[in-house]
Amino acid sequence: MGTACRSSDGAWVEIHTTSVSGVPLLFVSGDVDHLSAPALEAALAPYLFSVQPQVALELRSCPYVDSGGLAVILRAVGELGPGGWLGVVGADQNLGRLFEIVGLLANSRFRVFADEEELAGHVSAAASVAPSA
Amino acid sequence: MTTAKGPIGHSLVLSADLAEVRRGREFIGWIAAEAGFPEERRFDIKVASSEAIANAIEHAQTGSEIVVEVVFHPDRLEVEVEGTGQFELPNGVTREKSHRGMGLPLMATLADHVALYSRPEGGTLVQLTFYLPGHIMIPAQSALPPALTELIEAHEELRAVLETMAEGVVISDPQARVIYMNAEALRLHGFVCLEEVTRGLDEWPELEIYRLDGNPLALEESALARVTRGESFKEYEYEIRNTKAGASWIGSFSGNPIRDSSGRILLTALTVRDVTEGKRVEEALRDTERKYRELIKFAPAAIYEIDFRTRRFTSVNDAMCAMTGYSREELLAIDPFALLTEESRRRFGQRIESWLSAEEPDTNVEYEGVRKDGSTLVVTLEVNFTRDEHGCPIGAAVVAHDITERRWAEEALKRNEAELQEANERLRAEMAERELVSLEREQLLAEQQALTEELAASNEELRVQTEQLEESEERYRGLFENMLDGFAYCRMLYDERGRPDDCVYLAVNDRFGELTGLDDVLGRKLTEVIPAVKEATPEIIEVYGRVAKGGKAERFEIDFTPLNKWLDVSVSSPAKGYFVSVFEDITERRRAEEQLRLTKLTVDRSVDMIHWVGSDGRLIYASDSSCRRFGYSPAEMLTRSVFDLDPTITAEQWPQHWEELKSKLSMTFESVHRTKAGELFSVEITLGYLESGGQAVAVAVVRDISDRKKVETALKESEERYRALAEENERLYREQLALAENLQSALLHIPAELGPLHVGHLYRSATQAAHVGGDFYDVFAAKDGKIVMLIGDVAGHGIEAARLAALTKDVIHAFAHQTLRPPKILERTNDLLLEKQMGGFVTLFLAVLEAETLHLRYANAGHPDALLRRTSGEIQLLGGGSPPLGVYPETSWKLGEVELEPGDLLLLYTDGITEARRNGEFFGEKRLQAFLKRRRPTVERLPLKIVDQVLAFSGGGLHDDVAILALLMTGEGFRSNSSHVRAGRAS
Repeated sequence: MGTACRSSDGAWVEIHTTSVSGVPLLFVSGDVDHLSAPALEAALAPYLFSVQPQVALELRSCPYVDSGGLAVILRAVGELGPGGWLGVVGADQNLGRLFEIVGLLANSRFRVFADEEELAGHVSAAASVAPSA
Repeated sequence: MTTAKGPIGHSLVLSADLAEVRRGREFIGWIAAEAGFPEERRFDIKVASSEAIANAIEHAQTGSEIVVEVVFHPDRLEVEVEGTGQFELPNGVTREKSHRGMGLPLMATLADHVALYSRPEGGTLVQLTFYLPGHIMIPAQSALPPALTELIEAHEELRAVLETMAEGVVISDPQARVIYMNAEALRLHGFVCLEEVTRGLDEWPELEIYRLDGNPLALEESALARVTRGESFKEYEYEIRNTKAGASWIGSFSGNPIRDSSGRILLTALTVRDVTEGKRVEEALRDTERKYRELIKFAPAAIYEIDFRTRRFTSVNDAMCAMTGYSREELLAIDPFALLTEESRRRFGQRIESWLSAEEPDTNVEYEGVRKDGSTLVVTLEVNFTRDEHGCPIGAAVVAHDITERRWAEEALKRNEAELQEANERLRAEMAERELVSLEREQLLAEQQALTEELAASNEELRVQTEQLEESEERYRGLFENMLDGFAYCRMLYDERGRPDDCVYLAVNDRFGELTGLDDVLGRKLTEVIPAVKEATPEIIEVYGRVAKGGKAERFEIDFTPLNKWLDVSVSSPAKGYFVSVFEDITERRRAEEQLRLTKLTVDRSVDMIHWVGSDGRLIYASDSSCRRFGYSPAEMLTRSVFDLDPTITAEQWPQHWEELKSKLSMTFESVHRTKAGELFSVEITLGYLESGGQAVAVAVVRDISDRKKVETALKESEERYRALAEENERLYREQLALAENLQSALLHIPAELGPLHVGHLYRSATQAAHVGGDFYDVFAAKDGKIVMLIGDVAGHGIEAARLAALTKDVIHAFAHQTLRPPKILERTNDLLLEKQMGGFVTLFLAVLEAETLHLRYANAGHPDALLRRTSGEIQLLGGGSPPLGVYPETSWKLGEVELEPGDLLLLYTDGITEARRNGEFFGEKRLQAFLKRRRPTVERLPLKIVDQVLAFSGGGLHDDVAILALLMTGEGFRSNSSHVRAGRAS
């Protein structure tokens, strides 16, 4: 996959979608601020209401998120269907601090992964404990 | 290099467009980097400033401007964002963009100080202050100033406290719109989440408010409305009805507006607790207390309380004194059990034992006691035990009923009956004897005469005896008539099967009539007098029948519904088929006992502490809850005075307090109490004054409000702190001198197209604070259809470097008017920098493009080579190894020239790109060239793509700031795109 999202007013963010072990992984590159947050929201929307809503954001190339972006993430975490979670991969410590301030780290449906490997490990571990029925 | 001591200011004007947020934030971030803030702090500064700018833009009037001022002091950076709009605290109205709710918390968390100012004519200024590491400022008035981090921590703790508080907290904006409710406040109002309440009060049609007396209360009198008007109040109580949910509760509100230094209300804070239960208990308590007082005062029964552990009375009423003949003081000093006879003491002990072995003890048992004058006292005791936490009785509240008189009357009656019977028998014997004499009259005629005298004497004796009996009867009857108890002498009637059926009144006393309301009963049947008796209380005839048949005397209490009275009835039988019923109206006593029980229950279960205090300040009574709270045993408690418990009152002041209470009769106030262990806690005391049996008593209801106080104090301190910070900010703001250097032009405001050029550019601060550079670039049209493009990097640090960058750019602009030969411009710039002794040096790549022919002249002063990508994909380097500007005097630079073609791309960059590192390895020119050759994104996106590539290489970090300027030649030239340059060329 490789859909690039960009907001109509030229906001400075690009989003490419791939997947890791079946979980959609959105590579976010650029700043997610008030202007560009709608692009992220649009990119996330299709994954929030699937049967097993799991989605991850790869934020290694995203050095900046403000309340515009945080609101999108918070809302997405709130809207996830049953059994769902939203993960972030490779977020730097600045972003980590913001996630903590707005309470995301305390939300069980929000997960933090150091890299794609850890994300893949988490997905396969979850799959192996899932009931076979 | 000079050292700047004073503040240095920069300003930036943004249009009210969200797209401008980024520009403002990069501008501020850049200055923060120059100011020497570490990378992590720069991030905070950018986020916090971004929130302020976004907010200003969202509320700005269309077409207005947002002014961003950044002032760098030696110790701190101040960011001010001023917009035309009325700043509104987040209220959740824009629910679909709920980040508005996050802006203020983010600002407050990330900045060291936040201050908000409104202009009277409209418009809002948000001021954010960030201290350099190690330069934290603290309010001067604080004796032991907390570190700033502690302040922030305190703020977070406060929030945590608010969420877990048992009291509701409501914070609103000056327009009475609720911004925040903690969990308890939401619960009380019946809301599920904060989103629901971010309406004004008038937007809650389901809520209605009422005074405690039930009358409707206008919305203007609601706590929210009052506090919004600037009123402060405490314990403002009214009832809130939620018509939708059908629920109602009584809230006790305290309100405080939070003002800035100019007195304007910034926020309002309300605390609310549900006092519905408390109000009911309070009401019930007040009611029962009143009854209790009256009851004890007027009760004919003696009422007292005993503490088993100390074997002392803890309270006695007047009736108890009258009954025993002891004064109150004497009673309080003696062992209560010493008043009982040995036999009764044993009986009382047995009763406690049987109570402990969980048997249901008789409610009424008779005891014998001894009065002070030595006479015997017969009482029934109604005992209500007080128990410790294990359920063991540790004391008792007792209602003692004096039945001495009744007992004596019953016994006298029995004696009288026995005497009557004896007399009858004797009379009968006499008669029989007389009959015998008569039958033997003839034979015994001689004896008759002799006997006549004897008979006469005997008759006389009989007459005297009868008279005596009548007299005795009269005496007892008199006694009965004077008895307080009702008395009835009846003959039992049985049905044909010998079962008790009814009875006939033979004698009653006056009291009988008074108690029953019946008169003219003599000779009439019970069922005739009280027709309902068989239906309502068939057992009473059973008992009468049983006793009259010769059974033992019986005593019982009965709810005699035909008369609507509780009666205490004693029945005994003087002769077979007859009975005497002595009864007493105990309706009042039963009621009193019930109330006493309720009162005890209420008092003991109440969380509030109850004290009875004498005129000397000594405690006469203290409830269990009080003893527990103070840590004294009940006995210890009674040796304490008010001034032992309350450190704010001295023994000398007490009489004055007493007099005040006496004149006001009741008062409520707050004070502090001290426990046995020395702990101080805040209390709210309601005092009532009453006189009972000549003794004056203060009844104190003491409520522990220490938790409430703590929260109030925390809120107040927090408010003080914010006020102090706001004042400090304002002071600093007035101190500052605004030195406006238009640094933003060093970075931003590059046109996307200029003549034949399409431009892409990017500036990004390092994410690692290893070294801070001063990158800058520019593209501008010069005379004769030429376009000047440049990129530079000031070596050096902080604000001096930033000034040097700005100066260099301005100088080049100026010299470009004189000459368009790049080496010349560099020479003149070099001379000027040396002349001005700026102290830094600058690397610079400078190129001048002939717009029409695409002929490019350039020179390079110590800067990385520019890259030229031909349409074929071939990469050329535009370089030259000459020194940077500002180092050597009289240096000259080599002119480079190249012919460009449409489709060619020129890439200018700073060394932050090539010097990005991974494990000591540089990203390097080779990788940059390879990327440029391989990938062809649009020129606008190219700089970001390169940075992504660099980040991917370095693992997400930059070691230096980077700047990239990408210029794509199009075939358009000036002919279609740049009228002003063409005009310049024409001249």
